[in-house]
Amino acid sequence: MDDRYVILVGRWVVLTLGVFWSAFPIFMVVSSSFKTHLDIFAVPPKFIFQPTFDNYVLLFREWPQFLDGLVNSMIITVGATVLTAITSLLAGYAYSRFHSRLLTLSAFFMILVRMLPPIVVTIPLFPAVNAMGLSDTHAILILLYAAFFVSLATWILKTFIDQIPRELEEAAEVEGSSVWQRLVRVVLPLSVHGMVAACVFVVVFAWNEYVFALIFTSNEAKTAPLILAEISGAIEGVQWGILFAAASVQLLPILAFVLLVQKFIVTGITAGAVKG
Amino acid sequence: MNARTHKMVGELLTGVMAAALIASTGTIANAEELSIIGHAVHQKVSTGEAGGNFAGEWAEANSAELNWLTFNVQDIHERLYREANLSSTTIDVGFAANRYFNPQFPAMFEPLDDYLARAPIEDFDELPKGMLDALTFDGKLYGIPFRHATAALHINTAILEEQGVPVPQTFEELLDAARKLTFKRDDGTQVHGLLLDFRSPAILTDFARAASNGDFLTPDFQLKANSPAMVKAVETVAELFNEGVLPEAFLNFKTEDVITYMQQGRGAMAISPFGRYRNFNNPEQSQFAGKFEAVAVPKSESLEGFDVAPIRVEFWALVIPKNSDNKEQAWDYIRNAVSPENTIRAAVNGNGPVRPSAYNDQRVKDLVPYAPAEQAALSVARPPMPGFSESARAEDIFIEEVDKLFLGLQTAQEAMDSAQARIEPLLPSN
Amino acid sequence: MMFEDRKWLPIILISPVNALLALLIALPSVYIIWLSLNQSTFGSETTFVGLANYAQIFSDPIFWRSTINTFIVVNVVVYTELALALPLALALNTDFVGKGLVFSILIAPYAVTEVSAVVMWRYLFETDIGMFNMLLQSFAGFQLNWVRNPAHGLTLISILSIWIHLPFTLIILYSAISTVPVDMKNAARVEGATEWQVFRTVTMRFIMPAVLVALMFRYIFATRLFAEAWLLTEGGPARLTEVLGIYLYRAAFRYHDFGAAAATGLAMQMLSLLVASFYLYQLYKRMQADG
Repeated sequence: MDDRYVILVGRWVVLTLGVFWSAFPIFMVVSSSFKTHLDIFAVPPKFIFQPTFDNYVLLFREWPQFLDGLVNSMIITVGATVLTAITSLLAGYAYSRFHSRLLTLSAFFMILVRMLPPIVVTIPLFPAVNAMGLSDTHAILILLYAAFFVSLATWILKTFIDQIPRELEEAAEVEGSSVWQRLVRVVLPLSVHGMVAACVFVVVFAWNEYVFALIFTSNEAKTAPLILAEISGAIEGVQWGILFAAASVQLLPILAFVLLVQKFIVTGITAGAVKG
Repeated sequence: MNARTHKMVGELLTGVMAAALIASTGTIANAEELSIIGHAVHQKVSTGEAGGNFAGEWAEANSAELNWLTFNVQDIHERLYREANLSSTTIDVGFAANRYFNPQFPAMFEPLDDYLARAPIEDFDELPKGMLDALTFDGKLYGIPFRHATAALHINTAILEEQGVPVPQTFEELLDAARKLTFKRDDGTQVHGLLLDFRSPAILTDFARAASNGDFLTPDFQLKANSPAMVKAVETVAELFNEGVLPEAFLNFKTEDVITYMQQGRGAMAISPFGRYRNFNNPEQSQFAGKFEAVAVPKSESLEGFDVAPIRVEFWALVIPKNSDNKEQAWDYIRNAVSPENTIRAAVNGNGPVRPSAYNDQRVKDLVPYAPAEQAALSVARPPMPGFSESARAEDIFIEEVDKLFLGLQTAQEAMDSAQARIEPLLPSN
Repeated sequence: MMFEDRKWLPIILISPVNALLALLIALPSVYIIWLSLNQSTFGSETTFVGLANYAQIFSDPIFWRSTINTFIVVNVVVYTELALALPLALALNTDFVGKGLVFSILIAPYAVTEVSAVVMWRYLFETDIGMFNMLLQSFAGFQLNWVRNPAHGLTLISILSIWIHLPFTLIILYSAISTVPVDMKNAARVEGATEWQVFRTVTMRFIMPAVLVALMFRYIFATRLFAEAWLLTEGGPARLTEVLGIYLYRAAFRYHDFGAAAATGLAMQMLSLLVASFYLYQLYKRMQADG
């Protein structure tokens, strides 16, 4: 009984502190988007103020390209996430279920190449991408973002697939299903936790990525973070309210996505119980 | 990287990658499309409402389509230089800031002398010689100045009146006033007498210029870091820092901080570009809107031959990448954009006009209350230092050394001796 | 092994991932190795200089200071994140109303645009008048003078980095913990195990592989720490808070010294390898044991 009481209190203390720690600076960013320029950096901070929507109106009036940027970001994020998810599921499954010297070697090769800082990779890639006419396309960013996250996603999926008892697959195999059917019907549902984690990482990365987008897009595929950087890099004075409004708009889809997919983790708990 | 290496690597990677990559919808430059890379502000002043959209009018008259690519200041150059090193680029006109000029321009950009001879720019001789010199490499001209930002002394007249300090008329009075204007308000708010944008050589050189027309690096690459004028300049700034005239946060200042401090009345005076006048006096942003004045930075009593201090002017120029396939049209765009009339129209849109005569125009005078002061400052101002391939490294070394001075780890003389020794080897040998 | 009759299946399964990596990262890396032996910048001929770029960075005291700063910050950040993420993940592993919202809020720092978040942190920690610094003053009797004091600067960089990246470790741990079979825990409880013993013998053992993967990748990402440090201190004052990510950025984007940038990039790869080697070895042992 004591144990459970301690756990209950501990749980709420930890979550309250965690939420406060995470939310306070975010709250400052979001609330600033409803403040006038004068109030944003007021000393001491103003917590009670007359909210204004001017910043949002100005954002879309003065930076109409932000909307195009969001659309491009959306296309690229979805593309990169789907590509990463599919390729990593296949690879994660292979690394989990098969064993050979070649596989071990390539599993560690994946980690090793990922250790090179992306900035330097842009140096040789820039002329190559231009020569192929891939500059300023969604495709190049989708491929690059996927390339930079398949290592992590594959390794996460491998560890989660490792936990799935092979008997479940063997049963399906006896029933005559192919390896592809087993992947979709047995492996994917049981490794959904890992899949959610991997997808959240790709989504967040692709949604906010800056350096590759700067170097490989101009207009047609220009992403939202570039517009955000322009807003914060105004040479005639930054309009902070607009910047915070843009940052808040930029944050919203990610929060919605996390809210949506975390349900899979809850359903996953029940699925996990089955396999024990 | 040079074009040949780029091409080689490009072809090598292309061969291997092409097979694996899905077919792209890549945009191929349209013959009628003119791509301009610059800052959002350049697009705004060229297409604005108050002074008119002269860029758009040009495009219509030439049945061309303008394709603006806008980025951050640093990113514009990153992208422009990368593009100019490809075997071909879709960029036709680029904006480059003087800080980023360097002797590699001839390898990347088109020399403009022939274009100028064939299709001259109206009243070309009016363009400031100092700016054209900065754009000249191996005797050839590589860019046309378009926009300038000259440093001013901004004064919060409300604070000066409150403290009974008159507007300084000499540089000595300015330093004196800065000290008198440093005080704590009754509510505990600290007011700082003088603010500077940053700790870079370009900005600290203003102190040497105002006191004795000194320089950090002359246009012919004579490094004067440890000259008495520069040592005195950084020593003065360090004293102001230690006395709290400059805030402690100066060690971490970004340009935006000067604006925030001034708008909140936490700074009484600032040396910052004239254009900041609009930010300081913006009623929606500033607690002291309407109270700010911008004057030319005063010179020292002992400095002969100048009316006001010969401080820094930073500027942007228009360039044409060598590998653009639309150079004739690019030149036509440029000569139209810098014509006397369009210089005025851009100024009405908020641009800093590089033609001194623009300040005499009534349209500009009506919009810019500080026009006479800026004209006076611009007439003696010059670029802080010439650009060279290692100028960013030199700037970082300078900042590192003055930081150590501010932290009390070395004297001004030691800081500048060290800067001199470390920067000297980076200069172009000529 | 039941699947091994199909010899080509695993090769087919791993080839898309490896093709992406090989073409977009590994192949360019080969060029980067060559580039690190050359002097190269915009608008001039690339010339072979042997090991001169390595000599240049290895004889630069700022490179070594950056390496030490990076090493310290990375270790502080990675382990603090683990220490904070574990209790949070455990606390989340139950059903309650509003759990989705709580989880989203905990993830938010990871998703917010760094530029806007760092501006806010700078404001909250402004010397003398920043709200957090004033709170610190009244509770602890001192302030973080991160503008002037490099140790404080690195502390604030670490705090900021932990704030941004804690969700990374949290997501992996939370996902892993939620797969621990409830009946295994109940079985242990029936046998009289305390909650602490259940955690150690069941939960911990079950999530260990995920913890290893999380730590190893977090180490790799943390070694390149850049945005938060650059936006906060730019390495200053006097480049005393510089980290390798900033050093590399200067070489590649400010100085356009591509040879030195390539050499720095490869040096960072080696440092990543070094700091992550313990975890790599653990993963390797596990893989061997499985096989």
